[in-house]
Amino acid sequence: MRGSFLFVFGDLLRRALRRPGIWAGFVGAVTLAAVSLSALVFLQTDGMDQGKSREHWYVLCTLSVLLSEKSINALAWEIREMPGVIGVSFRFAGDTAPGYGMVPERSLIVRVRDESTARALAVKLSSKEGIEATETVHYLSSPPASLPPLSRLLALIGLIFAVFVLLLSGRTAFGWLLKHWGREWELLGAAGLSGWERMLPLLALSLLCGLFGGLVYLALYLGLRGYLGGMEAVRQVAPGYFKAGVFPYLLSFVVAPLLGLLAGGVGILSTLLSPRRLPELELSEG
Amino acid sequence: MFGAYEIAVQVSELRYVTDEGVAVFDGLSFSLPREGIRFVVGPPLSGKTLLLKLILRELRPTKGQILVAGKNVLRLSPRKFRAFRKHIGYLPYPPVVLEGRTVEENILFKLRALGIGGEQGEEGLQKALSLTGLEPLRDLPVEELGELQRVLLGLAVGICNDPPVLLCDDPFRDITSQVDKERLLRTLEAIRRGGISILATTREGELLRRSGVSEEDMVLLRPEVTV
Repeated sequence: MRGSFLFVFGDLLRRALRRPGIWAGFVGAVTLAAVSLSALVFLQTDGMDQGKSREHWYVLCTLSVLLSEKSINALAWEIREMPGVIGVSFRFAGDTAPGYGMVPERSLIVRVRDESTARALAVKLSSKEGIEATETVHYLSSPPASLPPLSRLLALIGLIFAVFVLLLSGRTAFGWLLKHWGREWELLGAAGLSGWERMLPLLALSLLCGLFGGLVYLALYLGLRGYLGGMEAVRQVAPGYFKAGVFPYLLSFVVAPLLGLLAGGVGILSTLLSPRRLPELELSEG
Repeated sequence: MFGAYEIAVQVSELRYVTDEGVAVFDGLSFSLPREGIRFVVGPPLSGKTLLLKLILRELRPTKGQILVAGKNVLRLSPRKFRAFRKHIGYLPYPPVVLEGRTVEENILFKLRALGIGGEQGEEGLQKALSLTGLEPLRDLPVEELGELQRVLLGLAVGICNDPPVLLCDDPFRDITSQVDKERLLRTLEAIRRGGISILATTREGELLRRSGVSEEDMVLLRPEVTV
């Protein structure tokens, strides 16, 4: 049974490769659908805050040179627990602090919610042991690059278009194949092979095309990641692209073959159900 | 696959009514003995192809029984029938020949698709070429075959896996020459002598009578069924 399947599949493949362009198109359509699906998943869209800058307040605490690392750590934890504090971070002398520049001594940056908290905390911390001086710092940060919500809709439309192209190319590829392998199809039927047995090699071919499409997608994904990773705007617009985990592999080895199988199956069935499938074979009038 | 049987095909009280309510067969009965030959004779639209489709279980009769090589084909499970069906030789109309291949490659295509290779495959190929007289043409591309030779190739493909029964749908239909029709008839007789029972449909009742086929080897269908 396996031998006969391999024989029929090999014969089918040889016939298919007489028009490699059609199959390259089908593989390309699978890749396009995978890329569209990725775009929908990876693209970062922003909502109401689109384009607005953010205001930040913090208290810069200059630490005493005598303070040990352990004491600094304990002090940071103590400040962290104070009301209105969002977070505490450490800077060595010579490091930079946002909206301030280079800090001259070891310092703690105490991020707070608003101006009044910052001013009150600056007064409070200035009298604390181990802190030489405090200063409130205010700065505005530009928002991360993001796309408008409409772009997600456009990505969805792109995906629908890609699926349409995929179905169309599946219909074209398998329509051509069944026309040029139609006599073999009929002979197998006359030999007693059931419709399912005859369809299996065709479905295997569509699965194979889907797998190739997935591999092309994976090659593009991995190939472009290094190049696009250096572009800050891309990192902000599509952060998921750089920390996608198993998603691209899942898309390549599972989703893309299934897309190929689906498009191939639809192409095969629509060709077989079409009355113009095999114009050269007449119907008997017996 | 096949136990002892005396009747290759037994059709009993066959009734087939179309969706439009037309009774194409109403109590049709006949039998084809093992290693025998029967011609189902009737004009166009008399149900000849339909009868073969019923035997091949591509359609279900309204009533009746069909036995092939001792098996009640209507009662076999789908899985068993799929296996059994591969052992029924079938020459459809028009005969299916694979363009761009030689005579031998056409026969080998079916054998390999059925998983028959090696010595058994070689035997099947030789027997099919020998019984149909296509041995000298085995390396000839199909495009160079004449109308009779195409039908002979269809027969060779039908019998290459040594089926107990060969069903032929209108094998004489595209053959214009009387000489070729008689040669085809002799080939069918040779296949029968080779141990394969034959049930063939045809419009050529006169040809059969002229060639000495007895009335008892013919099943006459009603002249016309209007659907």
